[in-house]
Amino acid sequence: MADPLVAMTGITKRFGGSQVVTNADLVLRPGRLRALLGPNGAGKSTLIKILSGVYRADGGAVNTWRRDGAPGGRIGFVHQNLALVDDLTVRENVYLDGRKPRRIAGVIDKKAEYNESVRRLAAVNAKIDPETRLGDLSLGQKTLVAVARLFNTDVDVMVLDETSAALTRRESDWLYAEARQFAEAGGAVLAVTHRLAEVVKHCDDATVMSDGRVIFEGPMPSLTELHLLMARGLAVEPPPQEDFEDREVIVRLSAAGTDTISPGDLDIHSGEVVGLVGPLSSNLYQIGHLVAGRTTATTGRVDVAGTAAFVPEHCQIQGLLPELSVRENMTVSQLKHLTKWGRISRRAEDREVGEQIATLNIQPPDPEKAVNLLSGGNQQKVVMARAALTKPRCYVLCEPTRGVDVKTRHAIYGFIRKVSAEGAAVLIITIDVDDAFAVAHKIGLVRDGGVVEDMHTRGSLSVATILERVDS
Amino acid sequence: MSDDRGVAKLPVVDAQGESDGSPATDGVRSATSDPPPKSARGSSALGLMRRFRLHEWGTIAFFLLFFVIVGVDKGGSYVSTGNIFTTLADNGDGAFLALAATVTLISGQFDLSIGATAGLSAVLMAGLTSSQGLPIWLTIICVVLVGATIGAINGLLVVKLKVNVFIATLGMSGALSGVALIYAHGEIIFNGIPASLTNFGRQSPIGDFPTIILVPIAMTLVMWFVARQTVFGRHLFAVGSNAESSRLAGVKVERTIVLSLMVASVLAALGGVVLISRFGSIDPTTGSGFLLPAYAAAYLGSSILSDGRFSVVSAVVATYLVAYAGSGLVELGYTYSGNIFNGVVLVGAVGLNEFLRRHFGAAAKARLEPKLSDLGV
Repeated sequence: MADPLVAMTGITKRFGGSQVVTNADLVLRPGRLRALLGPNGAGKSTLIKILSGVYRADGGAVNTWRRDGAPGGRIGFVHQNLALVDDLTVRENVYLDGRKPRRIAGVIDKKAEYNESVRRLAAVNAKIDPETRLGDLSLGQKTLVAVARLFNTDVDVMVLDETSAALTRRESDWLYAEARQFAEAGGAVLAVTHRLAEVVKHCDDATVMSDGRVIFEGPMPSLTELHLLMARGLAVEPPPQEDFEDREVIVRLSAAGTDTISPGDLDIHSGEVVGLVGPLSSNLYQIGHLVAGRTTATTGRVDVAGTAAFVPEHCQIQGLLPELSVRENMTVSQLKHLTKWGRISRRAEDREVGEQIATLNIQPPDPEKAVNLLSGGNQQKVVMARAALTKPRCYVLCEPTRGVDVKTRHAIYGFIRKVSAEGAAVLIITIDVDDAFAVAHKIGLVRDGGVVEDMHTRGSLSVATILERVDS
Repeated sequence: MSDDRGVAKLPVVDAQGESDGSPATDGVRSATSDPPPKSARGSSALGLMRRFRLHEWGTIAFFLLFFVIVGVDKGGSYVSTGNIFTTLADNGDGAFLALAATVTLISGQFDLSIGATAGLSAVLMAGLTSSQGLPIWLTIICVVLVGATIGAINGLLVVKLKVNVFIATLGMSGALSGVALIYAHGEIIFNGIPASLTNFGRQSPIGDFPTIILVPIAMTLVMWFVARQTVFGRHLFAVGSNAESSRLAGVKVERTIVLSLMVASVLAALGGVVLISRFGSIDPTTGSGFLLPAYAAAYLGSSILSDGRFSVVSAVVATYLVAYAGSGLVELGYTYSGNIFNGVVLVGAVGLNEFLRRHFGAAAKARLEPKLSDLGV
């Protein structure tokens, strides 16, 4: 076997009280495409950030080499958010990092840049004029620009961090074809993704993580084996099978759609938890925004009995008021009920906030702490608490366990069970099948264009079968 | 401030940030296991600062030291109650403008027209009561309404036409200065202003304590209540912290921004009333000069008195601190140095604030600024 380009050995990382990566190994070899897989909170993202240098490991070693065997390999990252600038042209984006500046006396040699951009774009089979404004491209084209930027540079390793998440199937096929070409030229590729079918199709090796540990390392298994592997270690008591048809309908979508999602029907009853699972390219969160009234339907009707509480998918960006305290963050949605004679009653506020901190076990239990000093999991809990304080009939939770550790994950599942047992309707929208499977009574699959289909009761499905359906 | 704990917590905050667009992780990096940049903890100067909590009281101590030095150098007159009261009374308009600046800053806006609004208000106050002979109470109602209208136009430009708030209020500032000049025919107004108005600004019925000092203090208390105790105030902070989060949490963001700019303009207009009452004349070109001290005070107050968070009380206290220091500079013979001082205070306060965030409150202000457009949302 060829000498590795990256060798991470015995990597360990703790954040505060929680162990997020334990004794993990990851080796990347030239010519190989490796997939890094695992559910939310398995430690993938932390491991990648250790590789990129954002975090320093508490234990273990990271070594990298160049293609010629010299130490200190160069690693290129293509992130899900691509790190491109919409208002610049494609050419300017390709040269954004100022590498290989083709400049004469400090002046940009536009012609040379243009020619080189054409060459790089051609290398990734992208038919894009380098003078196009980047913002005018589709997400798939933008991804190719981000990849083209790395091509023909002296990068030794390419890391695709959820890069394909928002791409259509065809676009992601292109992406992997480019990655393959890069590997054949002596580079190594690491793909971090939730989409199992595509890695089985395109990658050579797999590393599967769960709870911060590597639970599988080796040549890419079959899709079925992978599904079983991913389903393992999920020790969640399934919710009891119940019939909700006779209960009150809290949420009803009647042929409701927007510009980005096709019209669809959906009923959620009191006490019922519905999980919607699908790829990012399906615009699945838009369904949540629609139910919660954050976007308006262009066709059909959305009827919600009472208020809907909403936890957005990018909780930390869309949910938090960073400099404000835990208390202020929790109560912001329902200050009116805490107000007497125009004055917010601090006593009422403290009481409600105290209850939520206890219920969700928020750490540290200090309501006056600025919320951005909390860990991501606890921030997520604060946003949940805000939702709960509005005493809603319905909860819309997008990615409720994104980037949280296992303990927090179970605290959040417990929260969902509690509110549904108390009669609320819950809609969970996620790309993480585990979430839906752990708490949902009914699971629906979201296809491209936001089409919800295959609504199943929980009992008739296993994680492996859902994964298969999402992938197919 | 939560110093060390804050610093230690920093990685945790980012740990879960699935979508942080940190440039450090993009592009190409020569990856070895080299350590991340050294934290502030290692530096001994910073260690000393932390040890003596210098970052919490250092700037205030500097001001007090300056006052003592001027007092010793120039004798008791500088630190006499008479001089202190005069400074407080002379800067009531400054306090109102600092309140106006702070209200917009809390909500994440930046109103460049508050100076011109105050100027126009003072000109109208002088002109309407003298030439037009309107009663004082009616004139005050008029200028308040003018202020509210200015703020409403600013707000609608920002939220409806999506004009950048700097541009909207800069344009407004220019237009208002022009209106003030035209109304006053380019001349200083001092004739015919009713004595009852100016007497109020100058009287000291009890000892040498000018009554007018109480006006900005009362307004500060009102604004403290509004900002800290009411739903509107909480929404100001929420929108200023993260407008998109606030919207998704059900806050009416647009309404909050419009109201914030309206409140600011009304406060600025009232500042004009206080000005004319104290000084009894108005030069129609004065307006824009109010802007710098107002923002200097708002930022200085936030960094030295309230842990980086904008606060109406801190802003007003800072207004008086800066004004008193300014009068000290005049005592020392630096007569025309006021603007330099204000400029240095503004930039210094912001720089200090950023420095403190990084090294002390550090994590407290962990950057959470990736744009939604970066996430394909």
